[in-house]
Amino acid sequence: MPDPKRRKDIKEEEFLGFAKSYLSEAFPNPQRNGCPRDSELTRMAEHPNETEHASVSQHLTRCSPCFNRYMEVLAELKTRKAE
Amino acid sequence: MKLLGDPAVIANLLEEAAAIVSRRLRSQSSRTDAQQIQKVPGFLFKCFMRKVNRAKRKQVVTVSLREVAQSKPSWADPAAEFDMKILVDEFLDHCDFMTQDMFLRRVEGFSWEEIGRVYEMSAHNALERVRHVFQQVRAKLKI
Repeated sequence: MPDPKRRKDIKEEEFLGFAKSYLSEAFPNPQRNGCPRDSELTRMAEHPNETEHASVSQHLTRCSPCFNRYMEVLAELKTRKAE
Repeated sequence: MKLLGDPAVIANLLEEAAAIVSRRLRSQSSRTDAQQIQKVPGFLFKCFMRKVNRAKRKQVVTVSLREVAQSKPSWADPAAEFDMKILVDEFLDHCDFMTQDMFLRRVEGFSWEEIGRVYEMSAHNALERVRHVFQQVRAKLKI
């Protein structure tokens, strides 16, 4: 018998899908305050380094345009590596 | 009739209604006057409309089941969406640099093998690292 106290399962793809749509829209930042340069995002995608990219990484989760750009950079990187 | 759409379905329903009327007419003799069919076209129409209404009701159920099967995500309702937002925020707050970046790569569709390669660890270790934080946060939030 199922345990009534058991938490509902959250599927990985469900969580990832939600996170993507949430992070890509919830933080518009139209003034682009504190946004890193594109080259920093590319550098972080290719060679992530905590000392160098900690603040960029923090910023990504609070700025939808940068989050979306980082997703694009990652997608480009993935395509390039697949070729 | 527009609701039913398919003319073949309508023809089927009419046929079924006609069969009912025909059966009733055959058994007329054993029925009392009150139970006998007075106007055949009217009775046929009534039977047909009953069939149509039943079919329409079934159609609604079919559509609903299809919608459920295509399944809206569990966060489609506002309360669940709110829970998920809190979960994402808390999860990201609890991640260190590496775990967060692993998660973002996963969001973008990287496999655990690819993520592991970036951080020079096995796919399993990469997965476990992210999963561990996720489970911790879920337990803390009781979501």
